[in-house]
Amino acid sequence: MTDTKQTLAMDGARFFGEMTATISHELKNVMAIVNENAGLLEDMVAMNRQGAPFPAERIAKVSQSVSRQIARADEILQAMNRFAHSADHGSEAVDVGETLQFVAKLADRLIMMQGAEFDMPTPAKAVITTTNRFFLAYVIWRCMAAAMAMPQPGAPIRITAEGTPEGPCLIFADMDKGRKFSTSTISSLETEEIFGWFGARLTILPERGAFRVLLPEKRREEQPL
Amino acid sequence: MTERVLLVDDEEEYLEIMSERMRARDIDVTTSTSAREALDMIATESFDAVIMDFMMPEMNGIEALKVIKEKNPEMQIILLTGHATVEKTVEAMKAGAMDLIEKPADLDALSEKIKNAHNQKALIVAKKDQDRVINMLKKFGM
Repeated sequence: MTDTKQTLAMDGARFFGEMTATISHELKNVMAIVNENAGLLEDMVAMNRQGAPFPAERIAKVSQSVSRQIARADEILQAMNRFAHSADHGSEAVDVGETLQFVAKLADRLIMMQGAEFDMPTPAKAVITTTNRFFLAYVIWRCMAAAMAMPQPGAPIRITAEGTPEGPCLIFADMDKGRKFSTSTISSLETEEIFGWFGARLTILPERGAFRVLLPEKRREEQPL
Repeated sequence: MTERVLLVDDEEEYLEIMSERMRARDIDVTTSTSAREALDMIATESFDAVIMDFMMPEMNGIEALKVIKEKNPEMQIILLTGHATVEKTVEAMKAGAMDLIEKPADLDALSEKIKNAHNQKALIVAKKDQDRVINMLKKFGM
């Protein structure tokens, strides 16, 4: 295995692990609430055996809470399943804006833990690239993580997907322009390798308090996974 | 005597149901959805134990635990976590946690731990009082 391939494999596995760990944490929270609801019902049965009437309204609330958590778990599992299948095809037409929303949803807890806020307006027109869905998600997450690594409480980061004459791109802009993005803050050895392999190019836009990631319209076929 | 507990978790629904079940077991529960708010509550109110989620936004359970222990070393803190790994357990114990419990928690077992926390805190406070009296007696040459 070449060094680049090894880095990609290791970093890709790390990304997969990071996302599945946060998903499992969310599922544990769902299970904890369902478990407490079950416990509450057991408590009610025990009290009923002692002569207390069944509180119908409270039982209805328990039922609503369980249904809510099941819907939440279903949403989490659907996202997990979609993520698990994101590496199925070497290359396919992918909607950049939609993938961005998906990554943000997948990493919701990680983003919340960092106290970060992303504003992601839906592009007027779909921005499409032909690439590997998993690694596009990975590139997006690396950029989000790099932007979050520069804490600026209360200052949201706007991420826009745009189609430009040079190709599809993502612009990460600090809405308060407080963060000073630079190549060194965004780039790392792993990012360089993945960007290079992926065919993405990073540009800092200091006047906009932003950085731009230019994506290839089509990932070169000779680049094997 | 009723045990006083502060339950901290960013999952509001979890807090609501858990506190209802604890109250049915005669535990006096106060809830908070953030570690920062919990720190303010601890500064003004007295609790036997703090039960806190490990992973919370803004300030996580371990960070909050360290702050609480620095100001209130007698406070008994139980951390709740989705996955109680060896690393997490060691980290929590080193920071002074009384225990680290995996979610979903068994409430009967947790209630036992709360009782232990109450007794443990009472012992520490009694020991502190005793030391204070001994020091005063020494001061007066007795």
